[in-house]
Amino acid sequence: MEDRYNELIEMVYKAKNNSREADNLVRLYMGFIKSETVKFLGKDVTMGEDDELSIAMLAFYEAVLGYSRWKGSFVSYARLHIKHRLIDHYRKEKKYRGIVSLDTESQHEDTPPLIETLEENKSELEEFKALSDTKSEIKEYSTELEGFSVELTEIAENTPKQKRTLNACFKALEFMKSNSRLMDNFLKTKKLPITEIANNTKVDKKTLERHRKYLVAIILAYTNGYDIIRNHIKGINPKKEGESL
Amino acid sequence: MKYLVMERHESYVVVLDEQGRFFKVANMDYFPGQTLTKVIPMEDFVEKRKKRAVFFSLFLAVVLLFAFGIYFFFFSSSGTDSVVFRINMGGEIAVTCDRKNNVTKIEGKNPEGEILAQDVDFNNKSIKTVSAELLEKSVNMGFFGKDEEIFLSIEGIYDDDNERLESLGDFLEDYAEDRYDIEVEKCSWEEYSFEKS
Repeated sequence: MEDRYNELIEMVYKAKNNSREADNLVRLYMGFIKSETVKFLGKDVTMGEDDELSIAMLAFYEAVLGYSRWKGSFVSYARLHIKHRLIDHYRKEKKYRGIVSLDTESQHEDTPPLIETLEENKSELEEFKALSDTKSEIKEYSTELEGFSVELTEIAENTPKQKRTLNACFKALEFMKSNSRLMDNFLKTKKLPITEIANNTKVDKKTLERHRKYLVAIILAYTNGYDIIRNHIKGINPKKEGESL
Repeated sequence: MKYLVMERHESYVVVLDEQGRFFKVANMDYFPGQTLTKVIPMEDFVEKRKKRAVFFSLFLAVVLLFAFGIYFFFFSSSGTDSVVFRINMGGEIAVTCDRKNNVTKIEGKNPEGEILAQDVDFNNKSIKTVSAELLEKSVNMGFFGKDEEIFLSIEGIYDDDNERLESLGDFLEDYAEDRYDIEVEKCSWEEYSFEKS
């Protein structure tokens, strides 16, 4: 019993810093997550159909990241966190009750769901092609990031929280974009020229070092070949810099 | 705001928003390449911990300030700071007291005073009790006779020092009047020394 408990704790600690381990742990405890959701809702749930199950899975992962030994049993901690997260979700959803979903089925058998009555701007073929292009660009981008020893999960954790910091990172990006020599060198050596960026942009070196992974990701997106990702990014509103994101 | 799904995991997906920020959000059966308009973001544990740490630091600072305030009010200002009463009743004695008027030290200032100050138990006793005991001792030892004057002076820095001197003077007058017919003179030590010389 004690061994199993220690084994679980070890798995939790491994999963904190490794997204693959975290995925394995979530898969292993899927039964527990599902049972907690069913207990909360009082009805059966299906993956892909019930938002609550997805939220419970996210809550389980959050519990993994937030857990430490002194908090007691991990299972109890995760159970409580899932419950709180589902209560939060229930409260938020309550606000939007009365708004009709586009997926709502019509009461008359002959009438299609609301979403199907909307005018289509793109053909299915065009949409499929666009999605396929986006998928392959993202795959290529992730593979290239691996060459910099950076994972997307880590980048999400390293993304600046304050607009001021995000703006500083965009200053660094602008400087890199305007300097082809540095950009080529960055791609060749896989190293970020932090000192040169700091000297030329007046951005604090510590800020750049603290957000190195994020900078690598955003600068890489502005190299050749990532048009879809680049077009998706519209940038930040400089007027409101300093406020929390 | 639109979010582009970049990577799929069991419990979350990594998305890129239009401001160039990457987030982890709940995976509602999303797949890479999909564009979303509404997401459920993951809780930021680091930020939450930081906020909690700031709250606890502030709470601790308030508690410490409160504790120091209590300490200074009850102990420091009324307990440890001292004043010295100089008394002449046959022998010259300096009696040191805390702010609660409890005696902390007795010192003889002339040969008779040194004899009087010897072996006096002043622990947990007030200046009034000790003064009365010293007076009895001085009379018994023959240092203090009838129609003599008790002299009182105080060396202190507090606003209520004069009141404390008055209070001790009144006490000794009441205490000694019936039996010894004593006058209590309250003047500065310099004035007293000048009169004596």
